[in-house]
Parts: sequence; structure tokens; C-alpha cells
Amino acid sequence: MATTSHEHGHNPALQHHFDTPEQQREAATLGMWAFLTTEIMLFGGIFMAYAVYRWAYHEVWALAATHLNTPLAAINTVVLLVSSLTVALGVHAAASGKQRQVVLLLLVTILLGAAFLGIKVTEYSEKFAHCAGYANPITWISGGATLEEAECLVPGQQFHFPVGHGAEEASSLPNIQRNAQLFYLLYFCATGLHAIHMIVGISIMAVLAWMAARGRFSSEYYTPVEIGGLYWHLIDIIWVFLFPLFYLV
Amino acid sequence: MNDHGHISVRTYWNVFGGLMLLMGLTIGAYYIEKLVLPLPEIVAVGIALLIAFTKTALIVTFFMHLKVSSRLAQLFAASSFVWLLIMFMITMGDYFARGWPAQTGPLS
Repeated sequence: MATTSHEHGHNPALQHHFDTPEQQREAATLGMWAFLTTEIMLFGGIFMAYAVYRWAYHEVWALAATHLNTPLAAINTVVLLVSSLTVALGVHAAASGKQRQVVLLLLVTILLGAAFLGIKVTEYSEKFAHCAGYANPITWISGGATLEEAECLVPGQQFHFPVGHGAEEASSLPNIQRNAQLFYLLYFCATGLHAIHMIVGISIMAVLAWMAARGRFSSEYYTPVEIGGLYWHLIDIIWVFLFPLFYLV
Repeated sequence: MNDHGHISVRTYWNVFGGLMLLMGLTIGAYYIEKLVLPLPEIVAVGIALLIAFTKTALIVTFFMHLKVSSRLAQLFAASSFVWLLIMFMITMGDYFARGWPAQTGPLS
């Protein structure tokens, strides 16, 4: 059975339990989609909680979101969209058997992923520096300028949402501290889980780039690049929803 | 089913251009709502989600090759949104049946 379509030279990448390379590729793609479904449900749970609480506390949501760094998040959106393009072009190059191009495009993708995480770290560290009483992470380390108005947006005992200036508006909202904390809890859970996926994605891209550099792929066999690409695109899709729901409330 | 490679490099660039355009649109819509034309929150969220789903459709169809994938893979991809819909419908249905939110919501 296994010999019917491949009498002329057996493809070394073809596992013995598959009849044809097409069948093997199809099985791998299908398996990846099944996994991506579970990923969508994982993030779906967070989006579900978000929907429930935004529905109830939408005024607090609008107020709380103003303390997030929207310009940085917009830059990150561009970074991720470009990385999705480089992955798509990388998979295309793999399908065309252009090994060097695959390595190059995957390396660019890793760089873009690292840039995304770097910006994310900047955002996070600013929030933590505020909790420590400093204006930004640099003054936190060097012991420079402190924060004028107390603010701590990291969920926990210390959480304090500043209501100083918009006092009339904010004081009319019951339980604003508790509900603002809910927003930031969801923010850190969602973007944190997304960042973990980015780290995993970068590791996968690194392995794929290394495999490509060693000449492990050809236009007949590039399934790992294809399904690795699917994973990367999913991370991009999650961000497509996180961006407007947290930064553009 | 189909052999890969029916999506051209040119298409990838076009899709990328479309995604950037939609991203600009979602940011633009946000600032217009905030500064120029205040819309009911439910409409504003609706616009943002509509753009997000359009971007998702573009990524899934072209970048993730669903356009040239087998019927079964397409079914699996579509199923994830069905599972998501089931989760949202049952959970939100339960909340609404118990009178959520306790105070007034965006629809009232």
C-alpha cells in the first residue's frame, strides 16, 4: 500500500504509517487546527470574563483603560502584523524550496517577536515602578524622581487606582477600586498569557530557523514550518482582539 | 487537497496592506468616538469587534491558508468559533436570566 505512489525514490521525511506526503501533511495540519481550537477556548475564557464584567462596570472600564499606554500598544500591533507577514512569506519560501530565504524571514520574525516582548516589558515595568512609588523603571533603579500621585495598577493588596482629577465622575461610581482592579487583573492575565505564547512562538521559530539552516526542509517537506506558522498567526489573531478591547475602551 | 502555493506573494502583501488599513481604521474610529462624535458604547464596541473579526478572517483565509486547505481543516477552524459561541451563549444566558448586571448596563 505504502509503495503505490512512491516507487521512484522514497521521500525520507515520509513516516511509514502514511501512504503519501500529502496525507501526512494533511494529518499534521488537521492536528494543529484541533490544538488551535483549544487555544482559542483558553483565551475565550478570559474574553468571557471580560464580557461579563465590562457589561456590568463599563464606566469603570472606560476610566481604567485611560491609564494604559495606547501608543505603545499600537506600535506593538504593527510589529505583530509585520511579523505575521514575514512568517507567511517564510512559509511560502519554504514551499518554494528557498532555504536561505526561509532562515532569513524566520530570523526577522524572531527579531520582531523580541521587539514586541521588549515593548511589553516596558509597559509592565512602568506599572510595577508606579507601585514602588517611582515615576518610571529607570528612576526606580537609579533612585530618581518619585511619583507625585500614589498609583498602583498591579492587582493585589497595594492596588490603588488614582481618582484625583476626575474626582466628581469617579466618586459617583460605587466600588471603583474593586472594579478597576478587575480590569487590571484581566489585563495582566490576558496580555501575560499572550506574552507567554509569544515566548513559546519565538522558541518554535528559532528551532525552525535552525532546522532550515541545516537543510531539513524541501519543497516536498516543510510541514513544521507550515504548522509553526499557524501557531504564530494565532498569536497575532489573539492580539487583534486584545488591542481594541483593552487599549481602546 | 490542493497543493500549496496557490496563494501568491502579491496576495500576502495585499492582505498585509488590508490589515494595516483596518488597524488604522480601528484606532481612527476610537479617537473619532472619543473626541468628535460620541456613540453609544454598544455601537463603538460593535465597530471595534467587526474590524477585529474582519482582520481575523483575512489572517485565517490567506496567512493560515484556509482558502487552499482541505474541507476537513476548514470545518475544524470553523468549529472553534462554534465552541466559543456555545460558551458565550450559555454563560451570558445564565447571567442575564439572573438579572445581570445588578445596576444598569449599556443596553438600557
